[in-house]
Amino acid sequence: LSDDLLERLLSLADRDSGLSAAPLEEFSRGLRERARLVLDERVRPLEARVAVLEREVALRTDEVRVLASEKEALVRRVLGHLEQIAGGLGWGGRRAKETLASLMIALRKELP
Amino acid sequence: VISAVVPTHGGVGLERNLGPLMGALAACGENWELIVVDRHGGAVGALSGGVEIVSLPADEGHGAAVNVGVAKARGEYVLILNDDVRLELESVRLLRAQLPAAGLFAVVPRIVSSLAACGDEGGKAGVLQAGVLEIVEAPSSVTQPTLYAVSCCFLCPRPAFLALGGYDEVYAPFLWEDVDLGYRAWRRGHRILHVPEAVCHHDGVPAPTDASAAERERIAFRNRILFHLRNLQDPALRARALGACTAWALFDTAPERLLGLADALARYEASEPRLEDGLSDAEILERVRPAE
Repeated sequence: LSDDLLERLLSLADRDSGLSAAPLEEFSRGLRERARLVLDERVRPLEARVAVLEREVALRTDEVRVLASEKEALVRRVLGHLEQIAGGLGWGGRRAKETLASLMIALRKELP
Repeated sequence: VISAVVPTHGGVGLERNLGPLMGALAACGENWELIVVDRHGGAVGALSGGVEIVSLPADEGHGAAVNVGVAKARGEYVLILNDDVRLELESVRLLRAQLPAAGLFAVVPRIVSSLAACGDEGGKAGVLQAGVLEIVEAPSSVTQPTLYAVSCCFLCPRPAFLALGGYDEVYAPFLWEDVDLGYRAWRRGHRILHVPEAVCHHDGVPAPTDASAAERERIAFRNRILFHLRNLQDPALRARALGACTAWALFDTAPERLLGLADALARYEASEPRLEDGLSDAEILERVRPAE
């Protein structure tokens, strides 16, 4: 559709004025100024969408930071409890101590 | 004699608005006649008060309906108005008081309507922007020139309407035929005045048979382009407008606009060429430019 339209428009412009120097300058001016408006109109919704996505990304980044900090605090609290439990175990609890130790090693890896 | 010509699309607003119209005509103090042009022959039943009904066999658009009504009219003046326009009592008298005046083609009242951001559809100005004419609202509390007589309500001498050839039916079914008529009037050195002292009210509610929003958009765009092709005579302004059209063809993606553009070219190429003597485009635009 656009190719056909373009041919017809150029043919009409040529018939009108022969597209000699002065009209050609005006033709270019009309094309340039209108193209800017048409493209602005097409870009505007995309810019609005990008702005929404940027806001969403910023929101998600904040949420992730809060969750990471909550997770770190939780891991530290659990580690504290596990250390207390391990310290309270006697010789009879050797197997349990080893299990707790490997659990604490795994948990420490979760810390930043 | 004032001939009121009311084209109707099913007679939707007639019942409500004919009474105020007859009242305003009577208050003017002149003889009058009222012609209702039924665009869908048979849709309007008999009307009281000596109203003449002209039934068209087929709907050929708003402009054609007005032209038929004006051709039937016998008055020295014609008051053209839509069936969804309600006149205030003094409106016709105030419009009539402006005529005749040298070089004055038509007078338009304040058209109170929610369709206009400023609340008044009557005053219009025109400015070239990026290659094409932008119509802007020109509200005013005093009488001032306006780009065109908005087709939903205006008064003009019947011979002047006929001398201009009436509405150009190439714009059928609707939109831009009034801008075209106004521009041709300005071309011939006539003036059109917006008279805000005279008031009417325009509902602007689409009739049930009106086109869909997409169809209206296509027709509006087609006729906007057609207006430029039919009227601009200055080679530089024509070239600029064609440049703008080329920008639409290259960069726009809205199907309504691309189809409208293609249709405008087809209609333009099939229409009779028009070249009128008179004011230049620059002179016309100078007379109807928006106030600073």
